[in-house]
Amino acid sequence: MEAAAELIARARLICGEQHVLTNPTVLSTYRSDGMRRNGPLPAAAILPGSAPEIANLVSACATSGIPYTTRGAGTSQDGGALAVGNGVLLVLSRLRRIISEAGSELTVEAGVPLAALPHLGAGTWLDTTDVLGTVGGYVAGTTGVGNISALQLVRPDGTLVELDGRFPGYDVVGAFPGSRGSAGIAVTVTLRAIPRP
Amino acid sequence: MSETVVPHSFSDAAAALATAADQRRAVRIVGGGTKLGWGGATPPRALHLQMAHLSRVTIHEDGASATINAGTPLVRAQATFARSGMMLAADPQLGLGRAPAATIGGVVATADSGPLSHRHGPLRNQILGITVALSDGTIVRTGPRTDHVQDGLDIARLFTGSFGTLGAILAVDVRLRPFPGNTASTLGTAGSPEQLSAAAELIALRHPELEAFDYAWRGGRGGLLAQLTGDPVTGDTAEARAKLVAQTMRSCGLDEPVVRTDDAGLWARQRAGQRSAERALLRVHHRPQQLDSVLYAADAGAGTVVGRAALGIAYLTLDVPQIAQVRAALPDEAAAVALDLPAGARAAVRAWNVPEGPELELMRELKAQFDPAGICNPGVFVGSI
Repeated sequence: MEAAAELIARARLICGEQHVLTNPTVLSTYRSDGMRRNGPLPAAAILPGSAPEIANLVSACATSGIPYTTRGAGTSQDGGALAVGNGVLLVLSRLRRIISEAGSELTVEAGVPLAALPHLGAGTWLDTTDVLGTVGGYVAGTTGVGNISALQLVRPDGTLVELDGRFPGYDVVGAFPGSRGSAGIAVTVTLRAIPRP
Repeated sequence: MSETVVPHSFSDAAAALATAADQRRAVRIVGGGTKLGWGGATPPRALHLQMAHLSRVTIHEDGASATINAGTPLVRAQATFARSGMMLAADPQLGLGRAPAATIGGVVATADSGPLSHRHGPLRNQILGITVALSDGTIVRTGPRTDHVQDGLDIARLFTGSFGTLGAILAVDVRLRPFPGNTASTLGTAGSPEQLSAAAELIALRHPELEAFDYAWRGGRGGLLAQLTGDPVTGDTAEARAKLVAQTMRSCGLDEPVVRTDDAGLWARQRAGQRSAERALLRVHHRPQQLDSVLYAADAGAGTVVGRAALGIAYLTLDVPQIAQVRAALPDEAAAVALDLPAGARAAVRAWNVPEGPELELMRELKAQFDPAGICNPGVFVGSI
């Protein structure tokens, strides 16, 4: 419990008091996902507002040994958005900026709702009919998304790395979809337009 | 003289890797031998793991997927699929002025691709699962035909384009597509990089139905080449659809576009431009909007170019002394890898030319995770991995 309290105090310094939720009544909202009810009550729901804040939080979790679960809109149906043990939730709902849209490329923050993606006449940004989830949640939970061209990624040790699919090397950008949070947290995602199926 | 091991089974290959790891002996994984010059050099006394006998094609009951063992020549796999009216949407150049010997293992390991990637995406999008041998002797299978649960990065995608540095690819499960039937192509010529680049952007936007969309460029002049198939829903023929693309090309100011129904030779030439036996070949990944800058860079180095018009992939053929100048003239965000190099030039050219940084650190961590002994194709990959 002491480690959790220390982490929560640290999170308040990183994100600001109002973005670290610990009231049990408020937290009960986060015990559900798209399917389940009465999942574990998280020790806190932390709502970071930037990539450095996420990096600092992940680093603090790694140091304290407190597990974290990343959550977008909380619509997944397999428990992937629920806290584990006495862990905390990192909720990305504040990260909902559309950063740039240039030609056939779009860069958005992970918490952007799928329904808020800009309309594309002949194509689409993501091959899904889901409108309730977030971009980050969809990418993390869906193996085979093939049109991601860049990622800003917070790795499990808290390091922040910019990954460009054009970079010659292992195709980490291509291999990231479906990693369900265990390969890190995508903070921003750059998508290439694809033909509508 | 390097020693060669020729495994006849997956377990043979895995055992050979494990033995080499115990002996701390470098292993060079070899398929058809058509791309052995790509990347850095392996130690001269590396053990050659020749995959030619791991050669089998199995089309699954669903008719829409197949498993191809790594040593299978891609041309043979495609012939097998064609008999069922199907194809693998991967059409790289399969050799360097020789028989089309490239194997599926080598094509996947180098993520080599061709014009069909315009419609069907990069090679990784065709791969459903993979079977690999790691240097500790274990065999890992992923994909829908296994009980493997992805926990972390997708192994099939990591191995695609890894140049064999994570382990040996033993087989790949691929998605098959219906063979498109008759095709027609529209060819229009442009007199400036800006004109070609603007036309490419507009045509890609207006014609999402293109099967392939390439360009070729040489000496300040070039052309766009778009391939179409018939539309089974509307009944429009490939030729009729190609004529619509010709109208768009005309509206972009391209010189009088030509529609060809005997287009196989045009596309063979595009693929041939992706390799070079006599000169250097740079593969450049860039933003599609930067195509004009890439063409100017090629002109400055007296290079010729073929590429995917809407994908930001260019293949520049040029003389070795021009490589540094062309690299410097490319847009900052472009990544240029020297693939083919004339004999004797390899030591003088940095194939990957990638700066140190967090991305490279991540690559090295992945290498250490999959191949802690460091024996799989050492020195071949980015950052001397």
